Amino acid sequence: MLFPTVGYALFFGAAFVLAWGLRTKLSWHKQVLLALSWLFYALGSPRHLVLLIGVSLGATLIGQRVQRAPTPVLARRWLGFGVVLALATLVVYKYLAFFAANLLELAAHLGWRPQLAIAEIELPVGVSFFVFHAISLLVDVYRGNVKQPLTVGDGLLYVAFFPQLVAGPVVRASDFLPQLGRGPDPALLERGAGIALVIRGLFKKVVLASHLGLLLADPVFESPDDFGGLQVLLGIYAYAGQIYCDFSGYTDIAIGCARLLGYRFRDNFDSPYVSMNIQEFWRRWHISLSSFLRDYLYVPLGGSRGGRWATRRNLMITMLLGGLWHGASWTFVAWGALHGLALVVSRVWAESEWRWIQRLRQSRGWRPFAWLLTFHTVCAGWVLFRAQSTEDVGRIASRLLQAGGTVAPSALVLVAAGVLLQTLPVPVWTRSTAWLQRIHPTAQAAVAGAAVVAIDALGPIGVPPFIYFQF
Amino acid sequence: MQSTVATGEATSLPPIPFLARRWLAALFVFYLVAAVLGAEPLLNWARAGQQDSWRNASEEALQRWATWVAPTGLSGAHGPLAKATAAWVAALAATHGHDPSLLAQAAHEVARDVPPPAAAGQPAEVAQPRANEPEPGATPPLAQEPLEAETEVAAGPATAGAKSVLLVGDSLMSVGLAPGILAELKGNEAFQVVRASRCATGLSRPDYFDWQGNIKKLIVKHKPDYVVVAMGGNDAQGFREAGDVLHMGSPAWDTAYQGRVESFAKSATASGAKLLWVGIPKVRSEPFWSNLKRLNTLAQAGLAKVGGTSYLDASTFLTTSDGKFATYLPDDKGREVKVRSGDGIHLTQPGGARVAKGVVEWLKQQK
Repeated sequence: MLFPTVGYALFFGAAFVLAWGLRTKLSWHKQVLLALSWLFYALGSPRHLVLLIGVSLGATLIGQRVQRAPTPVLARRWLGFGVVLALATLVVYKYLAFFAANLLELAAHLGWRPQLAIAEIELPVGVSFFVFHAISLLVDVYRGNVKQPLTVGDGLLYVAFFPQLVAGPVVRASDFLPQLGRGPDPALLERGAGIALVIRGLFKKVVLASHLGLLLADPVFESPDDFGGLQVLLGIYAYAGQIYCDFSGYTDIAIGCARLLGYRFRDNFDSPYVSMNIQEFWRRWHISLSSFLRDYLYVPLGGSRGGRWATRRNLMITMLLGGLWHGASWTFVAWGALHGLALVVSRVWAESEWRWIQRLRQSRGWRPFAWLLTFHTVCAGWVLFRAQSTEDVGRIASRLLQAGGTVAPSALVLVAAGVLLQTLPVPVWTRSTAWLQRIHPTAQAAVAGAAVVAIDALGPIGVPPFIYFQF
Repeated sequence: MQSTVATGEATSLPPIPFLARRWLAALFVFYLVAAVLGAEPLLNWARAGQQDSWRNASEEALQRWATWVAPTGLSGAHGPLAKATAAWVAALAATHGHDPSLLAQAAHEVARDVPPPAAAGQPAEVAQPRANEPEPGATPPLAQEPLEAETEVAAGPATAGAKSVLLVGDSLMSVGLAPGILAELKGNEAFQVVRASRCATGLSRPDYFDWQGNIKKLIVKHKPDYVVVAMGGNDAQGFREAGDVLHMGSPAWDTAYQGRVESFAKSATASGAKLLWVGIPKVRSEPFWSNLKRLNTLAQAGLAKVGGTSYLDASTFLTTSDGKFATYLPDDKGREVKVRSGDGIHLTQPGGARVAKGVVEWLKQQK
């Protein structure tokens, strides 16, 4: 089920009434939320509901074993078993065909041509997210970050909770399970800015991201040869705006819906394009994923505790795997490698004790230059991220160097809205929505109703699907 | 009640009346405001649903609702706002020098690895013309634009006696198939190829791009001996004909679409050219494929009424031996190669080459 649809508006209304109506009967409340979450998934992809239930049930049962294990060694074994099982699911559904095709190609290069057919496995919606939730459940229980005994119902609902189910944010088990123990918090409904978040998210996704994609980014990435250098450059900026608006808009809706139901998710984006270096970018972009990779991959690898070279190696491994998580394709691996390298370079630069570098960093012109460099490194990454193949990257790069192509002023305005709105200071946003939280709920709802209709009218005919769904 | 708003303490809130009184009213007001202001888009949403009794009932109910709300004037704001958006989009697209991809399917074609909405069980939900969209002929962004920009004479200077081949269609032709045909005919002096395909077009939306008019111009200009057509991937959507909105799947739509194929084929063959219609190959999404299969059947029925036409089933080149969709297929040397792009619809270069073999075989059989 997609968020910006009439169907979801009706679905959420039902969930809202049922969830709050059963607030005092907590176990009923949670069972109804679980049933609704499974329904939400089944309405989109009924065939993979069994997989979702299987993964979450497996993680919960193994998580219970981890929690009740009499010795740390046994707990560790159960944890290893559970994590391997969860990752195996991801590999089978997401990477098997990619690995097999590459292996067969390698074999062919070596002169061996086995008669094998690669079976097409359809990628289940949201598999990358619910597998990560399963891993978070196991690891948080193992680390003792989940204090209360893990129940089957709570484990299943944590993995399947519909606002975060198909495209994140990646919610930590240690954040969410205690909330399930307490039940929904009415203060979040009253003061959580849920309605404002949903409206903001819908506007970013349906209006900004859709137009940026359809009008400026998609044509350039589909057939770069039809465009001049300026238009290709604008297309790349437009994609930077599109992916930010699409993804942060989607998480705004997810976080807003969770708040309306009385649950808190952490923020997922914090104006990423204002970053002055690539480390800062990763503290501001898809925060729930980058902190997940930090805590569950980078730190277990040794983090920055093992000296300079070990730190650099760990950064590269983390970013390469993070790239591959986004999709089974060499372009995503290249995207991860670019960010890994940029992080290493950025670290070396920051640690440098050379006097001229320190003087340069303090000079007046440095900050704008650092911002431009960071933004364009990120944009170079987006070209790898969006291109369909490595050949396409070459075509886009070669078009970029050719002069020509006219750019409409309205196109510039659209791109500026997509990329630069986030550079506004945070208080502008909080002040603009504060009044909405002060008025009576029925007045808030009337504003929301009008906003939804206006957003529909301002959007294109038909909203393209969400970029992050199948990652 | 005011105090609860001010303090917001969880403990101070009575459990159920808290919802019942204020937030239940709020939910009702949200639906009411959205349904009044959005009566028009809601009606279009209902119309776009699959043809079944639920759709008919909801369309009827929402039609009544729209008529009932109309006198208030409140539902009138959406239309002008949407129209202004469409005009802005068209102006921007024109200065950017590219098609505005107004067809919803085009948006899905380019989204990586995401199935079209049909796969999510909502066929044509986004592909429905809206009541407030530009009337056919009112602001056609590209309908009158000649194809010259995209036309390219591929072979070298015409050799005496070379037969000329015109390739027309949508992205199915542009991506994969046309490059495959050119590669297959490379160095073959018996044929000269002209490419005139355009992504995100079809026969359903002449208000967006007018193939019926353009094919006539192309025939006069290039005087082809053979015309190869591959289109229809964008056509699974409702359209207007003679003022009526026809819905995909209705008998009236079927008749109209078949008629459009027939008249297109007549124009293409009017000067004696022979026509090969390449059917849409099987796609990954089953619901989307059931729509496309219908289009293939209608195309064949339309072609049957025009002499000098043939139909090529592209699926036979792109599916497994038991007729299933395949992203990877073995090539001549037994290596697995990717024949379909990640969207489960478009052809990759090797995929296009496979279908191109069938097209070239047909060309060589013609006398």
